[in-house]
Order: sequence, then C-alpha cells, then structure tokens
Amino acid sequence: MNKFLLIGFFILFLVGAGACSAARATPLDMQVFSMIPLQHDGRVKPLESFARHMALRLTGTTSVQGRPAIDFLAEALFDPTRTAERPLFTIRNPEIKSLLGLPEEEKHFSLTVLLPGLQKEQKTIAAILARDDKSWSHTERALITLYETASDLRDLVKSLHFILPLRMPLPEFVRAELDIPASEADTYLDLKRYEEKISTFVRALPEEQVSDDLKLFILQLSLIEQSGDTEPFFRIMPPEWPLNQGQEWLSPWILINSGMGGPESAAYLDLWKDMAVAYRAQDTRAWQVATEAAYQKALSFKNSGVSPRRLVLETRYQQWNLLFYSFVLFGIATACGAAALSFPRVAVLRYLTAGALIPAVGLHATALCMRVMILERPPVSTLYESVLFVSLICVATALVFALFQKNKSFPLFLAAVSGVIFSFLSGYLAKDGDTLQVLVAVLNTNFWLATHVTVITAGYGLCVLTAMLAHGALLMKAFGKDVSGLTRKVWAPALISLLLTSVGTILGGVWADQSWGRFWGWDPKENGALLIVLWLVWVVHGKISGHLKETGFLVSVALLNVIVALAWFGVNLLSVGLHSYGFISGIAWGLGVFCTVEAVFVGVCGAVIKRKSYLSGVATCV
Amino acid sequence: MRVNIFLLILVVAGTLAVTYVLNQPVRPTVQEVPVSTIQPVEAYPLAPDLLLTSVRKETFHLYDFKGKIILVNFWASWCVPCVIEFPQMLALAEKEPDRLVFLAVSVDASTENIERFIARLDDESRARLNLPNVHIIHDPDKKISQDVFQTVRYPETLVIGSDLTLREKIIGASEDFSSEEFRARLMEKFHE
Repeated sequence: MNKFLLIGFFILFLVGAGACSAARATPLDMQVFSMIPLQHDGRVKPLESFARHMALRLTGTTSVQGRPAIDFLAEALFDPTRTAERPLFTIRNPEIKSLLGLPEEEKHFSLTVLLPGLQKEQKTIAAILARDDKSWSHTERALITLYETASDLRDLVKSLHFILPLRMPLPEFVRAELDIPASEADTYLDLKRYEEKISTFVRALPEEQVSDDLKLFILQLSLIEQSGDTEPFFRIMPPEWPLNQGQEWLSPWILINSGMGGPESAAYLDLWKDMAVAYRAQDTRAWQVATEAAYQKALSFKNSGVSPRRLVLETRYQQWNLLFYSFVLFGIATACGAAALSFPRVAVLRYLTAGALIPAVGLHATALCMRVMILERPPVSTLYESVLFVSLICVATALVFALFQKNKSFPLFLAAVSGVIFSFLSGYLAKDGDTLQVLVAVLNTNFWLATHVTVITAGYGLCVLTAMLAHGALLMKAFGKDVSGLTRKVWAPALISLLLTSVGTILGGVWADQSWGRFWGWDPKENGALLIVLWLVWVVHGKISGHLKETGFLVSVALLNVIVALAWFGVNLLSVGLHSYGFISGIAWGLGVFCTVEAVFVGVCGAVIKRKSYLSGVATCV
Repeated sequence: MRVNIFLLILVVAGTLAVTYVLNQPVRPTVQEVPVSTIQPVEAYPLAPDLLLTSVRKETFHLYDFKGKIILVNFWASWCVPCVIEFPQMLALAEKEPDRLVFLAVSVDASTENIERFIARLDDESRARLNLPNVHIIHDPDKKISQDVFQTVRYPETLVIGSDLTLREKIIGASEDFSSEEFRARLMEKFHE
C-alpha cells in the first residue's frame, strides 16, 4: 500500500512536470543551440543560462511572452527586427511615460518605440547616473532600470548584425557594374570585401545618378558599422591567438573591429551565419546541422576552458528547474504533514507526507550536486547557495530524526516546513537571476569553502532545526501537553549545533589568518558567528547548571532562530567588513518582521505556559 | 561557588589575552601572483594550407615554406601605415633570406593600384621585391584576408612559425619590422 502511494506520487509529479513546460513557438529544435557556450559575468556558460538571464531582466520571469527564453534569444539574434518590435517592456509609471513621450493609455512598449525617447533623455539619464544611487527617487530608479534593460536588449539585437541579410540590398546596377557576384542575401560582412570598389564607384558617380536606393544602401552600411561601436556584450568568440588565450572572450563585433580574428574564429562565425540563414528560413534540418557544427566548433577552440560536461549539465540544470519542483513537493508535504498532525490516527497522511518529502529531498540534493559539478566548488559560497544547503541539512536531519521516533508526524512536518521556508527564501534571493556566479577572489578557495563554510553552514542548519523543535515543544506545552520527552530530544541537536558552529568559527579564523593576515578582526560576520556560539554556550551551561528550567531552555533555544538570522542575514545589512560576498539590500524589512514574529511567538507561548503553571499552582493550593 | 567565579574570570581573562595577542596586526602572507592571466599554450594551431598565386604568376602552397618563418602582411595601397611598414618588411626579408618568407597580400581592388604603389617605393625597396623570399599576392575579393584570416582592417601581419603554426597576429603598424630587436625575437621564438 505504501509503495503504491509513493509510486503514485512520483507519477503525479512527472505528469505535472511535463505539463508545466512552456509551449514552443518555433519548430526548430533548440536543444543543441542552448548548449553553445558564451562568456558572461566572468564565466563560460551555455546560451540557455544567458537566455534566462536576459528574459529575467526583461520580463521578471524565465520566459518571454509565453515562449521559452532560448527561443526569444534565437529570435533576438537572428531576426532582431521582430524582437525590437515586440512590446516587451511594461511601463506603468505615468511620469516615465510622459518623459519618454509615450502614449499614456498604453503600458507595453517595444524597443523601437522606446529608443527615441531614451535617446532624447540621455542627459537626464546621465545626470541621474552621476548621483549616488541612494539619492534616486522611485521614478528615477525605474527610469535607470528601464534604460539599462533597453540598452542590454539593443546591444543583444545588434550582436550579429553584420552576418544577417541586409534589409536594403545592393542596387542591381551597382552589382552589374562592379561585377559583384549575385547573392540571395548579402550581409554587411559579404559586402565589406567590396568596400573599396563600391566607394570608388559611388564617388565617381554624377550626383543625379546616385539613386535613393543607393543612398539608403550606403546609409545602412554606415549605420551597421556604427552599431559595432558598443560594449562587448555577447561574448561568444574564445580568443584564438596564443597570446590572448586565457583572456576574456570576444563579442563578434569586437573580434572584427579589433583584428583578433583568425582561421578558427572565421570558420566559427561562418557557422553562426549558417544558423542565421537556417533560422530565418525556419529550416529544421539545416538548423540542426548548423547548431551541431557550431557547438562542436566552439568546443574545439584550444585553451578556451570549455567543458562539454559542464555545459550539458548547466543546460539541464536550467531546463529541469529541479528546485521549483522540490518547492512544490515541500508545499504538498507541509499540507499533508499538517493534516497528519491534526488527524494522528489517519496513517495515510503520514505516508503521503513522507511520499512527497522523499522525492523533494532527492530533487533538492540532485540540484545541489549539479551545482557542485557545474561550478566545481562546494555549494555554500553565496547567500543563495547557503540557504539551499541549510535547507538540505535541515530537511535531511529532520528525516533522520523521524526514523528514530515512534511518532513520526512531527519531525516529518518539521522537515516539510523547513523545506518550504528555505525554498521560499532562496526564491527571493534568486529573483535577480543567475545564481551560478563567480566568487570574489578571496572566497574562491575550494579547500576553505569545503571546510569552514560547509561546517558553519551545516551548523546554521542544525541550529534552525533545533530552534524549530523548540518551537514545536513550546507550542505543545502552551496547549498543556507534556513535552519532557521532546525537550530531551532538543538537547542532542543543540550540542551538535554548538560543535559545528564552534569548529566552523575557528576554521574561519584560520582562513582569515591565511587570507587577511589576522585570526580575528571583529568583522560583522565573525561577530555573528561568535554570537551563535556564545548563545549556545550560555544555553547549554544554563541547562547543565539547572539555571534554565524546561520552559526557559525551550525559549532560549527557540530564540536561537533570531540569533542565526541576525548572524546570517543581519550582518549583510551593515555593508561593512571583508565578507563582501553576501551583501544584499532590501532584507531589513523582512528580517525585522521575522524577529518580531519570533519574539511575539516565543513571548506568547512563554506567557501562556507561565499562566497555566500559575493557575495549576493555585489549584493545587486550593 | 567562589572557586567557580574565580575560574570563570580566569577563563574570560585568558580568552581576552589570547585574542589580544592573536589580533595584533601581522604581515599578510605573501602569495605569488601571476603577472598575466595568460595560460600556457599546449599547442599552437596549425595554419591552413592555401594555394597562392603571386602577381609574378608564381603558384605555390603555404606549406611549401615549411622550415621558414612566414610573415603574412595584409596591406592596401591606400593605407598609410602599410606604406610605412612595407619597406621595413622588405629590409627584414633581405636580412633573412634563408629563414624567412615575406608574403605581402594586397587587398587592393585593382592591380594598377599595386603597380602605382610599387612605383612610389624607393629604389632599394623596389629592388628587394625581386628577392626569392618576397612574394606579392593580390587578394581583391578578400578570399584570403577576410574569409580565412578574418582581417578587415589594415595593416595586419601574421607570424607563422617554421613548423607552420599560427604564432602571432600583429595588429596595425605597431612594430618596427626593420629593427634588430624584432628580428632577434622572431628568430628566437618562432624558428625551430
């Protein structure tokens, strides 16, 4: 029966996963295309990751107008006019609309519509950018975000301009006169070879013979030439020349303009041109051949640092979206777990909780393992990753805890709730997009990441779990139940938490000594870690010495959550210190609410328990 | 109880003392920092074999020059830096008749432009054009410069090692090709 339920759950999950995949708008198979490497944000990644990053910047989601991000990227590169005309930008702020001369009643705008207004307001934008961003108003901030996003999209759609067919073809009489071979679709680069011939011919032409077609054609070439003078945005070309190997990748425009091209990059760019032709013709066969050839060519560059295994893995990581499904399953498990606690005699509810939790933990752990393999470092180097890791530690420990308990409902519920809370938190931290970031140099040390950070983060996880157990015990005690057994069970995880956080803090000091030349510097992060250790030492000693009775012990352990939150997230609000990997803005409000809720919960539970104890004392006396 | 308080004070004082000692500014560990980010190159890419025809109507393959350093210079008669560096390269070719080949690939639209360019050279340089290790190649459709080597701006010079591997691309007129330093570097690094 149990097995049957578990299998049923798996099937439901798989069906759900299939149904959630976004509908394709193109018949072209994007699988190989999505794995082609580029360098972005300091590391080599597949186009799939870049496409999602762009989509997130534009729309706040990983799809664009209901289409997968990779489809959008292909269109932006190979059919830029269509992308530029899509109403991708949502503007609700009437001040921005008025400033950019946009119609008041509309809220979706295309790049083509936006650019003239942004161009006109260059001085306003420059003046805002010259000021400290803390002094920006809400509208100014929104304008700068819009400007940056529009600039990114503009740079993206221009990336391959010179290998795309020209909108205005070379006039036939010029072609015939100069004996330029006929072509189905000339590109800027095709005609660049005849630049001298064409310009000599046009200069020699009498004014009255220079037709409008020819003028437009020349204007077009000049505009394309100018469009190459942009930031190196779409870095798909690994450096080919030995002296440049190991340096940053190049965008196609920079490659052409800087003279860094060579036989390999020429051949590679030809394959991009083949992809463009196939895409524009929506020729599935030609697209398949061109993308496969381009992918293989990209892998063949010497010393480019491209690992096909990591590219495939990262593409799958992005496409499978395992963390989302684990979040859904944690949610289901929480619902089932709550029901199991409410109806302890209905065994099916416990099985359902476990049935949802096991695949959820599996998916979560798989996602973390994939991240380890992609980044080749432990998964604890950013705040986002530490949340994922703590989540896994919490859920896994609660599951192990459940194994040794007669009443499994509570630990199962605890595992599910911690899974949901941390998944939600990680989703918030990941809202800016790519979470597979390159670390700052001092943190990019796998040995210390694997030891200090892993140990201290595991300590955080255990602390949170211990505190949640104490929450449960407090709540039960407030409802008048005997929790002496549960209180005893809080003791062991509290001691393990103390061990892990102490060892982690000392290891951190050793790392700091090696990296920064001092063991301890009263850095906010160091102080935070010490605070947890001191709190736990105080609680443990209080318990051993008998100064903390059952309720006092539980309250102190429950408040450990607040201490951990302050040490883990709170120090990031200070924006000082050497641990510059985790600064984030905008969490003050959330942290304040969390601490208040915790204080109220613990305070109310404590008060209720004390009142009951007082009343029972009175009753005994009477 | 008093003993406990005494021990507690002792532990706290000891901790503070240790922290104070350990927290004294010490010189950070000095680590070797690489001067550049260039990674060691395992192997140089092989130059493509090309069938070339000189303006003297001689036909040869690039690979025919194996064992010599090949200097492939992309130039045009209208490009001012090219006019400056062209005689320097001819002088270099004269100094290294056995170890270097100079392939001057002109991207001019017509051969007349090449002839006019040659006519403007000084007598010494013009005489060097007859050296057996100097070849002028006309590439009007840019089949070599653009299609193979992705050169669209001029001048650019490729250094192909004696083992026919692509060693260096010199962009613009940034080198004095007639200098002894350049010759020594070329021979030392690329002639094996």
